[in-house]
Amino acid sequence: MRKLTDGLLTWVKDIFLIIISLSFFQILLPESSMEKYLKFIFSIIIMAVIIQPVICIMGHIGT
Amino acid sequence: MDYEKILEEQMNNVIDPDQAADITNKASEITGGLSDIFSLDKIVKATLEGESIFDNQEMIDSLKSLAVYEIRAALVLGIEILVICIIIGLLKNLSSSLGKKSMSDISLLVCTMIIIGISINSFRLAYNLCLDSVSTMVSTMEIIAPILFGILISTGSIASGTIMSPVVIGSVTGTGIILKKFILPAMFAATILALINCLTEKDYVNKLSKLLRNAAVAVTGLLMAILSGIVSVQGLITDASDGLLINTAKYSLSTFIPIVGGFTADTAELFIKCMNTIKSIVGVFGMIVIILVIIVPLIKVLVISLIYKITAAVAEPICDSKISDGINDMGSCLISLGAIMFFAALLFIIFISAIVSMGGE
Repeated sequence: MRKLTDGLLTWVKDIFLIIISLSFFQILLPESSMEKYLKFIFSIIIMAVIIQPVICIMGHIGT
Repeated sequence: MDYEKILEEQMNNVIDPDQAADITNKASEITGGLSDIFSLDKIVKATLEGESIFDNQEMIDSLKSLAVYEIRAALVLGIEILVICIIIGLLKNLSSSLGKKSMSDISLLVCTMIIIGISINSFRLAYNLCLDSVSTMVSTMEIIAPILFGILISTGSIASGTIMSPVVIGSVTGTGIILKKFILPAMFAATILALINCLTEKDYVNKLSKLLRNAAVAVTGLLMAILSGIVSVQGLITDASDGLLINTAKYSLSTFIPIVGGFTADTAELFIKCMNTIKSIVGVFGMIVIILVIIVPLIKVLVISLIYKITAAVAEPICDSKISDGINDMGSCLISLGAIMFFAALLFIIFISAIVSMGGE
């Protein structure tokens, strides 16, 4: 039970940190043709962090 | 012998004064002394003399001063946020003359993060208060419910007492754990996600925050509907069977025992009526404690959420729509938090009233 609550808070903290750091990166990036692709990659990273607990739970159910 | 003496004697047999003091102390900690107006003795006195218990100027005054205090504290918060919003609007308009885009972007990000910091801080205060009030409600119920069931069994409602006791106490403890471990942390997460969302230009976690918030409210509503349904329906059935038992006992006492049977039946009835009065007093005491414990955090949460909503409305023309949306969502999250607490309190009050209305007839 305790683990679950802690897991939830860690997850929110992860999302928080990843979004802040990626938005800083986006500002620091030089304007180039690669910018669009980089933004796409950033979005994929954020999505991966968001679905991480689902994957975790699936793994637990599997074993 | 007069009825006041019987009532007081039985009251002392049933209730441990330490436990009653324990409940009052905990409630007074959360409500800041508001609950001291209602003590068990005062309710007993009001019952005996047929007075109104809420006819109390002191209570209205302290509630008013509490609301005024909270509004003042929250106004400071709203003005802080508004000032930062004005700075953001200024920076946005000046950014073209500053030249470099990244400079103004970073300053905007920093300002937004200051707003987030202030908001999370005030949210955490309200959240901790909610957590405390839920714990106090649960512990009050855990003390009050066994006393009520003891009285219920002593009035002859054996089936109600034995069947309902595990149901009610189990669901009170379960509700407490689910609220404290899942629903309130989920609300916390939803609020933080709603705030993070105003950092970025694109929506990344907007839907996620709304999902968590709606899920938390829906789960609480579902929990309340199921548990209160079970308790009321089960209560009706066991109450009917107990009524049958008591009436049969009374009838056979007065009919089949010659001469003294009638007196014995009357005495038994007086005893049961007296115990029922005590049960009502204890139940009312529990309800009042729960209402008081809920009302103080509820006022705080609603005032803060109102201030957030007003700030969002005022800030919209000056700064980004993103930031005002974030502040607005934060207000909605606080209202949801208040709704969850209200649901929990309502569930406990339904439990108490179900037990009080059981038995005796």
